[in-house]
Amino acid sequence: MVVNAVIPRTALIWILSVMVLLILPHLTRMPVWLIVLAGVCLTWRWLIYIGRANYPGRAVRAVALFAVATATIVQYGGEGLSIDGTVILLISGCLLKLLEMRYRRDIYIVNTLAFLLLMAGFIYSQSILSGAYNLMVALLILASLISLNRAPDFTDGRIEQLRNLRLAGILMLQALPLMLILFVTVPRISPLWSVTQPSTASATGVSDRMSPGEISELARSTEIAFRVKFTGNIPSPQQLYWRGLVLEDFDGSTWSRNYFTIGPRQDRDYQSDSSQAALDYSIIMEPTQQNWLYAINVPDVNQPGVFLDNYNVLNVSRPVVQRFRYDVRSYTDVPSDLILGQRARNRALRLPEDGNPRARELAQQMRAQYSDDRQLANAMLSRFRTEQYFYTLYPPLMPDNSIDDFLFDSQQGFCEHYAGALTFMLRAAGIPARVVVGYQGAEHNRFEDYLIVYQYNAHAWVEAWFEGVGWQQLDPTAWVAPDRIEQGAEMLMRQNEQTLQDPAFAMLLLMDRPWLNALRLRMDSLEYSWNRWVLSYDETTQLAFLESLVGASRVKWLPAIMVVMLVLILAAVVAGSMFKNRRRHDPVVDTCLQFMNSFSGTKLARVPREGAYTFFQRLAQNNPECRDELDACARDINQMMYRSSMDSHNVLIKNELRALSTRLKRLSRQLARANKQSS
Amino acid sequence: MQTRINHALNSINKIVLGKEQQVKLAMCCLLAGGHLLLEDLPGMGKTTLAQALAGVLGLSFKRIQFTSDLLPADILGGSVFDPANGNFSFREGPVFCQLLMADEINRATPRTQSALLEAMEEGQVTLDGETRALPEPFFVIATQNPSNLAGTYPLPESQTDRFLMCLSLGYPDAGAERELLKAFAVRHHQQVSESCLSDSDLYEIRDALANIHVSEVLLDYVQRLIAFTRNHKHFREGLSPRGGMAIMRAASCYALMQGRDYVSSDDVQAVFAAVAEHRLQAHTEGLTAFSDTEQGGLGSWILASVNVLPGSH
Repeated sequence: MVVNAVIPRTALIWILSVMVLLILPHLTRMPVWLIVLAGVCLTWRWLIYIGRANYPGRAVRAVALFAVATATIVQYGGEGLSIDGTVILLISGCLLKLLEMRYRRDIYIVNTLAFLLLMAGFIYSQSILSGAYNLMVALLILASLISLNRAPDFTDGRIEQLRNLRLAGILMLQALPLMLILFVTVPRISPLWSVTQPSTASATGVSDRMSPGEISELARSTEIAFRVKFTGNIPSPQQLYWRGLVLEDFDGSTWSRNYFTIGPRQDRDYQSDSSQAALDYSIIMEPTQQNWLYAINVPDVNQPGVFLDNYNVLNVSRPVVQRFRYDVRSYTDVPSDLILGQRARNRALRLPEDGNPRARELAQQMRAQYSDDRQLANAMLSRFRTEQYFYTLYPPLMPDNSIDDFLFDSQQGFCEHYAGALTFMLRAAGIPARVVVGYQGAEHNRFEDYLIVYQYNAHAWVEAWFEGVGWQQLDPTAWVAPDRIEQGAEMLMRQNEQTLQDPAFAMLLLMDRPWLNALRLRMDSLEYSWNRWVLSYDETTQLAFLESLVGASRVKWLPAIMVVMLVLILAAVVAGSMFKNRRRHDPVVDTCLQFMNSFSGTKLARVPREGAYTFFQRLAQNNPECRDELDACARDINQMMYRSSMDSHNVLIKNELRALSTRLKRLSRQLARANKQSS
Repeated sequence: MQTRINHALNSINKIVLGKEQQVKLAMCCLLAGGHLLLEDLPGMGKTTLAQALAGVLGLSFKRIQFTSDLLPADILGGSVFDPANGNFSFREGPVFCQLLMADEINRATPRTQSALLEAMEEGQVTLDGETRALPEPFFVIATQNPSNLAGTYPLPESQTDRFLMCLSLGYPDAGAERELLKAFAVRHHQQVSESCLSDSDLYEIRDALANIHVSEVLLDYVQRLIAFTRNHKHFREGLSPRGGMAIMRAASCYALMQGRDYVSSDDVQAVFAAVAEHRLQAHTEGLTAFSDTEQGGLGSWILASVNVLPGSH
């Protein structure tokens, strides 16, 4: 291969367009200077291509390299070796290399870099759409490689390009079965080292703090939080309380999680009781960068790295940075914490020293009215319905004494206001209570029969502890706006004109057209299947799949079998090529050579130009006593070698061959004896 | 057949003394239906050999002495005005014969040389837009002086390729020379008195060639030889497919002359140098390399370098 040859012009077009396509998905993450650099480099290379500009000199390149390196270090250096910084460095390197791309060797480097960039794209997005996009780019890179290696036939450029594309497509199709086999069978090994995750992905979803306005902010997002697939029937919307976090600490305006009291749950005896009503489902969660999961109370997960804490919250040891799949069994009728320890009770009753005096006063009044805790709680809940309270996504701001303002003045709020206020009043009345945040409700996708939980399903509710019952779920929202619970969050927003003007909810309007809605759900079900079967295909699912394929007892032999098969396939390929290159072995020649080669190393060793006849004649000269036999042999060998049809299945030939072989053996013995005598 | 061929060889050997192998090859060349190129210094017996061959084969024989002013018409013939009946009539040139001897072919200009080309390859002559067939069989025996002598136009590769064999006679050995010297008066222009082979014999031999058995082992060997010439750095270019076919044709004919109905490696080795050498051109460094190490020419060097039977040696 001539590496110093000039690049074919067609290959240049390919690589330039590939470069543009590769950079496009990164555009939103790219700093401004890099976008400028991309524009300059691509334009410059284009100008060189059409002959309007020249290659940059050494000085320009040096300055550019220095500037890019400095910019990258300044912008990303502080984070250590982050993925973002590395990708940016890779992109800028590729761009600068374009300006240097002069000979074949350079374009091969750029091609290799293009493959690397392609893989870098997968760090940020693994959706089915970006998969398809990357596949297309891979096709183009292949086509550019092909156009590099194919001699131009000077016919029609367009036809030639199409042919390159076609060949690239064929190559990719040929690679497809291999890819599938490797995907299914290659062991999933967890990474040997971890790198700082992309910083651009910030924490999403419910956070571990709840101040007024936070959940309503979240509830304006139509992003997907997670998808759920139930093994049995899908329970009613009233049961779909996806519990996330329990917030116990209140500082007067913000509820927050108490990290110091979290520990793994000890009493898990209910698990063994199979008579309990249970829901089985699996959740694929979108990345949240947080380390808790969502589930219906009381969850049980048997998966490494996931544990249930004493608040019945599922925790994961590492933040969820990629789509995460977990299978849950929820025991819906199991009472929790029938006995509340003194410390836990204190925590669940703790209130700030002062603030919100009117709420405290109201709680005391009601406490005096109702002696029973549950009746008191019910009275508080029904107060939300009897008094004029409004459920709204856009509550007025309440700076100080937020609970008082909400309860007595504005009387407008979203779920977090109701949950916070109720918990405050319960605590003020001496009932242990806590705020729970998570999601409520879901959209049913009838195509794949699963549920989609959006961010706008974010919800906050209350748990109160009653003697003999344990922690019980109370949802003030269900009293204020029962529609929210029964018909789902989107129904509620649909009724609100203000929400519909929010661009984020354009989707809601789309849902009015049945076919558009069906299309949307179909797309989502496709995405869901992709997540479920492709992205969440990890060690465990792999093992399960292989077990179902070959049986549990044999699965441990699978790696060995695979290695053996690989070796066999390789051996077959090697043997095949060897067989192809091998000369047809002629049995007569083999027999003859065996005899002739037995003289190698002696002065009688055969020389290249000697055929059997000449060799035997030379032997005869050396050993005149065997001349007759040697001559006869030589004649016969020549006859068999050059005259008879060399069909080894021929019985006649086989017999002759055997006879020849014995004759030659006798002859070599004879010669050896003669030589010994003479010496 | 075998005896008749041997008889023919013996008759020639009585005239061309001490050159049994060359005579045999020359005969082999003609029997295989190929043209023969004799290359040697003047006075080595080239013409004698050619005449003797023509004599034993019983062919009509014509001879052209090529000179630098020879014109194509002198070879092929031309239209001549006949004043008696007032029209042109075609007068055949010397090429219209069965065995044409082109003496000192490289003394003529390329234009004249190439006039022989069509005749040699197609067995026909085209003149004045009319194609005339030459008598069957048609052989050309050309002699040429080594091209480094003065006043020669070297034959181009395309033309040398058309000769099946190129032989050089060389000096006779001492015994043969003594014999020659002794009888210098008698031997001058001695002719073969009687032909030993007829036209029909030639056709018969040609048919017999098709039935000579060629084994796979032999083909492997010939392919190795050809591949060697193509891959070795000493050669400017390797043997052409026509060259390969020429080897097979000559070797088959040689086997036939030995009285065998199959070709062996010895036949190939016997004819290889004569068939291949004039088709190959070696680089100068190659020439010095093999002339230093080997007796004989390029051909025998190749034979010495290529395995007859497969496997390492």
